[in-house]
Amino acid sequence: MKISIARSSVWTLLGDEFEFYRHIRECGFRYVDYDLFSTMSSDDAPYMQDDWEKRACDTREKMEKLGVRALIAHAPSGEPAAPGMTEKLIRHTIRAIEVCAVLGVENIVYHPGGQMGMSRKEYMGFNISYARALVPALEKCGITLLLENVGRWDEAFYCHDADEMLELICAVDHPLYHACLDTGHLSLQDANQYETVMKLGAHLRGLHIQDNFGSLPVASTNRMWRQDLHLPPLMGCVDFDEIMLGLKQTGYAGAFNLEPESPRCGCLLYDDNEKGLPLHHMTLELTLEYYSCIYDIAKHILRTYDALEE
Amino acid sequence: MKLSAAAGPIWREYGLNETQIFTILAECGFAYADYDFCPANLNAWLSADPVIWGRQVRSSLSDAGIKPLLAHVSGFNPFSDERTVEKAIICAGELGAENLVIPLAYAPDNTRREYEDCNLRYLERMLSTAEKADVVLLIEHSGSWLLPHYTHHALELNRMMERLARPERLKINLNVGHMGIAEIKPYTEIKLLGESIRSVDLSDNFGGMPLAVRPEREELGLAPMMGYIDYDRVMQGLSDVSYDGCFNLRMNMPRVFEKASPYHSKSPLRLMPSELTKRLYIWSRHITEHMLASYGCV
Repeated sequence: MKISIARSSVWTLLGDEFEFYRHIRECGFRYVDYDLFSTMSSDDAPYMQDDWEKRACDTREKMEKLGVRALIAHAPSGEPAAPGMTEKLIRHTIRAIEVCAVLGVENIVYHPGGQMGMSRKEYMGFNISYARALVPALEKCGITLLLENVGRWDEAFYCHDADEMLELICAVDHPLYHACLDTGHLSLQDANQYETVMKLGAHLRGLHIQDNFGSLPVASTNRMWRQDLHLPPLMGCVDFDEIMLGLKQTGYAGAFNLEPESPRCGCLLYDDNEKGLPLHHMTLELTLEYYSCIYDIAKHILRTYDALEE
Repeated sequence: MKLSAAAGPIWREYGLNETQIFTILAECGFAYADYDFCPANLNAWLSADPVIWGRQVRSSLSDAGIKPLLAHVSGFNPFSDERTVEKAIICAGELGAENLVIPLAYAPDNTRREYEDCNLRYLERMLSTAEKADVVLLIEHSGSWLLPHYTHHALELNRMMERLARPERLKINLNVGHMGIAEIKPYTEIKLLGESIRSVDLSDNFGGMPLAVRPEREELGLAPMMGYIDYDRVMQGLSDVSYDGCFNLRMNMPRVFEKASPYHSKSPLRLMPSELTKRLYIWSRHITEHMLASYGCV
């Protein structure tokens, strides 16, 4: 498996895509998860303009020069089932799929849509239609759309675990529609990682590798930020032995894609007017020292299972 | 300020002896150590003569090229295990630690009055031993609402200090992680404790938990600035009270995986390689140095 990394705290700190690639390359990373999640949330986004294709070509060229390649991408953020959002998000996601084709990214990961009060049947119906609306773009571009496990017991989602993901995947029933497992999200369900990987089997085409300390028995509106911690692997209680065992046994061939958001960039306890305080966030130098460790932790995990592909 | 580090529980998992563990801490750039009288080595040291044990530890530290600055006795409830604390005080004196952080005693369902009275009697006895051993005893913010402690706040700690009236021998260890769990404002606490603060334990977490189900989710022992503790307020407070004592890194990171997988008997990822753990300790030292430098405390 190749090690890749999502946007992470380093990007947040630098605020520039190409500076992020340059610095993350120095930490050892050669592959990235291309961020269309936070960069395509409005119609004003650069990739939503007429010159999007040229921009995507330029990006690919710049990334090649910096020695990094995108293996997987995050689809645009937004709640697909929110009133007034569906059409807009389909439009943005189709463009994101087109951008992926130019960049040479094979898989794009998206969150299913859910609204409070939706029944399971309504949820499945909506998400089948939503995924099918993206199929023509997927077929045209040869990109695979990956469904990510999201939500908790107290949220309006029914894609918590392998069974629910497979229900939707089988219902959509398309060769370009598969699964991405977020290890941290699964931990919030306290579900077994090995069993999940085994059940998803050949449908598993992407990973969001992150750690936390499991779920809290409180409503998500209360202290959700203390749950989905996005720590690097081996820092929380996710059992990566179970994950690696499952990945080996199912012959997983995708990226070992890290999704850390640690250290925190700006504590939630700070007000906006306190962002200038000296310890509001870690320095770039310290953050990069940490990400260099994270890269080596990922290498250690893969080497332990004889699964490292440089 | 002097920067020290405790040897977190992970180091024992590598099968290293104390000299080897302290040598690694020295290699990580720490000149001072925090020695733990913790349950992990309880049987070994509790059955030994504290004087002899203390001298052995002193020798181990000396061989490793690191100086003892403080020690912790933790994981005990002195209410039922006072002798352990007493032995640790004697041992701390012998090993050359000037300061010893000791736990406070509690009984199930004790009232605030009972808690205070019980601890005052216990501390008086311990202070007598500390006098002979020439060790300063340190108490700290203790427990959460799950435990029957009444030392969650500076006012409660100050009240106990005042009643004992031994300011030269009894001081405060500012446990920043414990304050994080109690979700109290660090700046106010530090200002209230002022000159009583003799050492500072550094770690990070994501605050207290509203339910009793997962107490292990609270004291995570992450490196400073990895959780949600407001270290700007901590450093500003320490600067404003002209704190000049010890800065002690006390982490429990990375974790040692306890749970055995039903699918995996060997769990090769249970323990991170010591070389990576060492790098995380060096990184944590750099964070701490950055925090000190940011507030002109180097």
